[in-house]
Amino acid sequence: MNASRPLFLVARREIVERFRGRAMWVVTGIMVVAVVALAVIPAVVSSGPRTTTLGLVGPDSTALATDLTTVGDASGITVTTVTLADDAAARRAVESGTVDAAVAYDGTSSTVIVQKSLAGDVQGVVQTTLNRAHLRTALDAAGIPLSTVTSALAPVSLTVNAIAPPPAVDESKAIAAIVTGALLYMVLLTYGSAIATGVAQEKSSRTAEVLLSAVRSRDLLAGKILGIGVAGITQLAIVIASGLAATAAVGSSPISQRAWSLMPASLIWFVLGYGLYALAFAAAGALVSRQEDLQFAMAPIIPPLVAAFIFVEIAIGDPGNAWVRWTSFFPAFTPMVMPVRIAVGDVPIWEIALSIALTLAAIWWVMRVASRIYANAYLQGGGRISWGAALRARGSRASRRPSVQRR
Amino acid sequence: MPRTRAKDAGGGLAIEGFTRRFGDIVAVDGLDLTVGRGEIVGLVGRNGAGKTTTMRAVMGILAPDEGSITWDGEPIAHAHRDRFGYMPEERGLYPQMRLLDQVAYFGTLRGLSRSDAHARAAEWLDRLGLAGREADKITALSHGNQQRAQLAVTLVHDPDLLVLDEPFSGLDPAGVDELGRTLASRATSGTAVLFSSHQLDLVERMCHRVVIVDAGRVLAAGTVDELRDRFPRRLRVEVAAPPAWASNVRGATVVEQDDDGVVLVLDEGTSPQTVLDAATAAGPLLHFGFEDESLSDMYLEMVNR
Repeated sequence: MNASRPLFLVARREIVERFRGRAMWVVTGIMVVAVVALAVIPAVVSSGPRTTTLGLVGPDSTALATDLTTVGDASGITVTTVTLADDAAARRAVESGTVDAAVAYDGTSSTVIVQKSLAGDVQGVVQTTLNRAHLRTALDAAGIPLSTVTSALAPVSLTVNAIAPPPAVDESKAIAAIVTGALLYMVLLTYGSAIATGVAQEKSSRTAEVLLSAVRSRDLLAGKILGIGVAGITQLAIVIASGLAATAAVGSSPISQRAWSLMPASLIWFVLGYGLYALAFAAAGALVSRQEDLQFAMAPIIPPLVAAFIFVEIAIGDPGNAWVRWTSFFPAFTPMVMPVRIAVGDVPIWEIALSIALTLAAIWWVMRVASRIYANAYLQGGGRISWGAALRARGSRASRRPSVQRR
Repeated sequence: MPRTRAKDAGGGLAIEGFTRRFGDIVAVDGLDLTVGRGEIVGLVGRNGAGKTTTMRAVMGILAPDEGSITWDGEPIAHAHRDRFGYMPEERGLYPQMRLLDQVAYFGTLRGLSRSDAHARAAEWLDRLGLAGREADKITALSHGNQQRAQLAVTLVHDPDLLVLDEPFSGLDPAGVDELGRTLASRATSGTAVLFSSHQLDLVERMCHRVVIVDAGRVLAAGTVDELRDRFPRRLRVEVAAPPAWASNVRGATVVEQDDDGVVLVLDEGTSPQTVLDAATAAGPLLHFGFEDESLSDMYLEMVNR
């Protein structure tokens, strides 16, 4: 029989049972709704440049139309104008929705007709335009040539020169980074806990002993981690795919497009982080006989994850931070901090390679320690076993020395 | 239940000098045990005597410190264990997994193909009266049915060796009878069966041989009759007269006395005829005969000795 068959059987069961359960689909559904909302809502709320159509009544309509367009452009509002015959026509136009507002100006005072209210920024544009028209009329009456008046009224261009500008954080990069960091933090915690829960469940339901009579503990451990990992990546892929699809569908801003385009690459970091943390979570699960004790057993694993997330936040605000740089090489933090550094700034390729190598080395070490703890603690009943005791104990095949044949 | 044992083709399970320590505690100390094919062997002893440790070692769940455990003369490797079935004392199944899937899953872990495992699982569920419950989760089953499910998991791959730790505990009388018949039929078809139990009447009735362990050592092993030979035979006599007559019989000792009569143990060379003569002389004889000491009595005498 294929030596790795038990491992795949164990993994297969994890995947099948996980997708058969309702919880998996509920959680996936919630995550899909969340990412679709994340992609769609900004696109709907900021619906491009503002436009407005204004109707004009009065002798100065032509001059006003030019001014309204100029002033509107300066305020980021595209103004279209329609000249109307009289107040009654203006009223009809507003009522029918042909124009957003109708401005009647007789050279000294003005009335604006609107359906309900006049948007603040549009009112600003109208007010500025009327003021200019009034000033121009007054100066013209005083004998100053129109060309002089017009050039005097032209907006002055303004440039700001900062002596010590803050580091330029590209908004799109920052958002990409925070989405990556948050997603990794969430999935490591979710699937890590799933493993710890699964192991503790096998132990508390006493399935462990039946299993161990049929499967080596290392196959059981590896199969479980592989199975939950595959289920997790599938779930993550579904979520990422719906995020990408939603972004493409609404054609939303380049901000979220960049964020989502980084997601597939983050799968690599997920695999590394998962490899590191999953083993530790499995060992934690093996320490307890009751689900209630699981929080205590997991206590040593959670702080590095939380700390990593804190460095993620620091990295987003200040990518060049020396602390962030150093912590991105520390294996417990690498899988979360490094992708954020990459998202926010330029990281030399050797730094990325080194961090991956260090993480792989750490995974190898954790694998040895965790499988030992797992094998030793898995069959020990009676309350909670300490990490140290489980490491020292000699209880199973994983730590056995050759049996002595007495013949 | 059949006490006649199927002809064994030699081989089977052999444990020699098995020793296992936990820290400073010696759980099992040089234990010897064999279970031939087609043989049912009962492992008897108080809690902590080393029964579970021995069974776990056979199943490879823990390693011996010393001694050898062989199957058909070969040291037991992982591949052998695919042909073993194990029911631990603490029963355990995945609570949320469906019955048929679960039994089949354990079948595949024992090396069956998936289709074969499903077919055999369905067959065993049917045989154990669980037909119609295939899609139920384990938690939806009654306690008795969970026990049956556990048995199906143990038997699904038609093992050559069954190692059952307290298989009868928690079963109702019908369940005990059902399991007893299942084990007997397995043995008849050549399976070696090793089980532990505190229900000694059951062990006496079911097993070809009994192994009594105490403090990690074998106190006695053999058929119940062989064990009985280690004890003096008990002669029960009931006479319609005061029991004083019995104390005057030469070469016999009264070991028990009740309202009905007395139980005597004869010295070597004393003929039962001597006792019969004395009894009839005392009064009308109501009962006269040797009685078999129960395994339970022998066990208590041995472990308290």
